[in-house]
Amino acid sequence: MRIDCKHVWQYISAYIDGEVDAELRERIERHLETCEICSAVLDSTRNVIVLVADERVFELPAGFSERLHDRLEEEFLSET
Amino acid sequence: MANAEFEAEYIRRIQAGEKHVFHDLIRPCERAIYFLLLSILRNEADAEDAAQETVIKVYRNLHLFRGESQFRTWVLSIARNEGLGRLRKLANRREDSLDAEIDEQTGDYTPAILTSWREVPTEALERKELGGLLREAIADLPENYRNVILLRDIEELDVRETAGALGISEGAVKVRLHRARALLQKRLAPKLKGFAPKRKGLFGWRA
Repeated sequence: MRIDCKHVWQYISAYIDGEVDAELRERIERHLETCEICSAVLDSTRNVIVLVADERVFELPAGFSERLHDRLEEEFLSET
Repeated sequence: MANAEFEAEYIRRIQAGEKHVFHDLIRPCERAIYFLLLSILRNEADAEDAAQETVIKVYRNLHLFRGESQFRTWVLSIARNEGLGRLRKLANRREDSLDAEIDEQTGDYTPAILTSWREVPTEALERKELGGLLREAIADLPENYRNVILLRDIEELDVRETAGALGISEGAVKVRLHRARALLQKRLAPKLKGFAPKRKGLFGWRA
């Protein structure tokens, strides 16, 4: 049975994470072979995930770690 | 798992008096603590202050960690409580989470419809405005979605860890992650097109 685009969109995230069962995966892949819209939606979603995961997107504020560990040292000292 | 063994050993040493070992124990969690708190509090100074407070609480309560969950999961649930506690105090809790709950009931979702996609390589992040675009899109997500995408896709925790850190079911993690990615695709795909390489040549993507 052929699945429609909306059905594919619903499972895109699970498909990317490898969380759909073998049968559904095959149906999605068969759909993707002939549907350029769903292929583009899948590729762009994957692309967005790769880009946001890049460490250059979310960087800790300058000096964050130093300040944090200085605070810890103060805590250690206050205990003794 | 090797990580858990390291952590257990570090914790044992800290409790035996080697306090400085705590620096090494907490270091791998710093990023996730800060960005989870930034996601909850939406303010860099507040997130940093809350991150420091979280780490102090982790240190003081280390004897309560039982090793039933991963150390990072436990730490992030403390961070989350710290963040939510501050929000409650400020009494400025946005209606975000309520919207998200309602949103989850509806299964329909329409992505940005495209007929072709040229990949935007991570090298394109050298252009400052791309990073800004991505951060802005994530900042604008409802809080529940933002927290999940932050832990799953940015800090790369697994579903179980994310569920533990946020105090929600694994099913809810998956649903929220799907919705979050869908919202990001919808918003970002049309804008990202401009960052794709103009043409592929012999001299790399910007040829």
